[in-house]
Amino acid sequence: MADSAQKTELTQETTQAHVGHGQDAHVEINPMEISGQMVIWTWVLFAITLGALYKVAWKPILSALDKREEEIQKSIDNAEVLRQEMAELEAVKAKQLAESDEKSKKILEKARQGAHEQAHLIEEKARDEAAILTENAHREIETSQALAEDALRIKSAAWARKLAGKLIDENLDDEKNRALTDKLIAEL
Amino acid sequence: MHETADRAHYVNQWVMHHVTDSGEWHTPLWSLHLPDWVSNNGVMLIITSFFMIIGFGSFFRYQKGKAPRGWTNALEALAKFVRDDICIQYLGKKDGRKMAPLFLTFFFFILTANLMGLCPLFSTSTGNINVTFGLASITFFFMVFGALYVNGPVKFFKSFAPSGVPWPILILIMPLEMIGLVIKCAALTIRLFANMLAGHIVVFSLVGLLVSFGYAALPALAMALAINLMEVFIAFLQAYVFTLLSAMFIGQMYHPAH
Repeated sequence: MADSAQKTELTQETTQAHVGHGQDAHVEINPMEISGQMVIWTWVLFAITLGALYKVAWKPILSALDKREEEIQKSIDNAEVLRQEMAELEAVKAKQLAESDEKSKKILEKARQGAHEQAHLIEEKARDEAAILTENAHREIETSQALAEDALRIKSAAWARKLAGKLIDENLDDEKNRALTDKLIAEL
Repeated sequence: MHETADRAHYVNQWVMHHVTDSGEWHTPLWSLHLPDWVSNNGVMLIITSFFMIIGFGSFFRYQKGKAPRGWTNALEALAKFVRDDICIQYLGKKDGRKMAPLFLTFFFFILTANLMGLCPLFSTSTGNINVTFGLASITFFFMVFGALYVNGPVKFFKSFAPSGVPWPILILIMPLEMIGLVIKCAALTIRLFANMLAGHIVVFSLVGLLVSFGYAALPALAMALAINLMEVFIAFLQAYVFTLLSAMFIGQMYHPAH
């Protein structure tokens, strides 16, 4: 019994000396103790902090964030507008390229057709010229032939005269004369 | 044997003393008897508030046309995270933007109070159930009066009745939904309080092992240090969880169809 009392005393002394900083060791320490005063302190201090920080920090921070977001959004929108403009320009460029391609094809086709026509004309002209030349050549040949025939006729006549002269000189009979004449004509 | 029991009792008293609110502020440097109208955790809340207002006011330096740097950049990144990923996510664009200051204050207020508890000389005010109840009751206020203001009384009460449920079941469900409103806030209160209190109890208990077992318990000190580092992460996590759940609960009341 005495031991127990001594122990309790020792515990109380130790606790009072080292733990409680003068606090009574018998006082029940309850971390779940309800204190209306503390709740009110929390509300008041939270409200003061909220009000002060709204003015000092949250308002400038949030408006800076909003401003930056707006700027970023603006940049994104601008980029989108530029992208659309670029797309439109690209479409116009593609259209113009297609048109110029079409045009160049048409020009080429036209040039090809022109060249064909030109070639055809040149060919026809050449053919006509060739025909004229051939005709001229024919005409020349005919003329030359006629001239040659005339010359031959003249020569033949001369030879005939010469032949006749010879025939007369030789004075041959009819049979012999005919054979000679045939031979001479054959030679001609 | 008795001596060990005494030491254990002493450690228990010491741990509980350090994690419970009192009318005194003891540090190795000073010992203050606080007036009746404010307790140790109340002082911690005042300091939290003071740190935040002074700190945020001096950290934030917005220069027009220039990219933010240093603390301003970090603060903006966190503010953007809270606004976009918590407020707008659960409250919609309009209400989320409007209520962002409240949730930013929730997040940073709890975070600062949590971190302060890890620093020497200070104690954890968020390990006090009255503080966490005070914060959760703000969420409750917006869940009830905010929703009444936004939706009107008819829509507010309709939000307790899920669509497509037959009326006999509604008689059961509606009171449950109303009780759920209070339970959600109670869960907010207990979650933050229990997490912060438990973390500190563990750290102090590990340090207390040194008192009970002497140098044999020296490895416990390394463990206490490791847990203290983890407490830094938990400080952020609990601030995030409280803010997120508050936004979620308020969002559910503001937009009951979602």
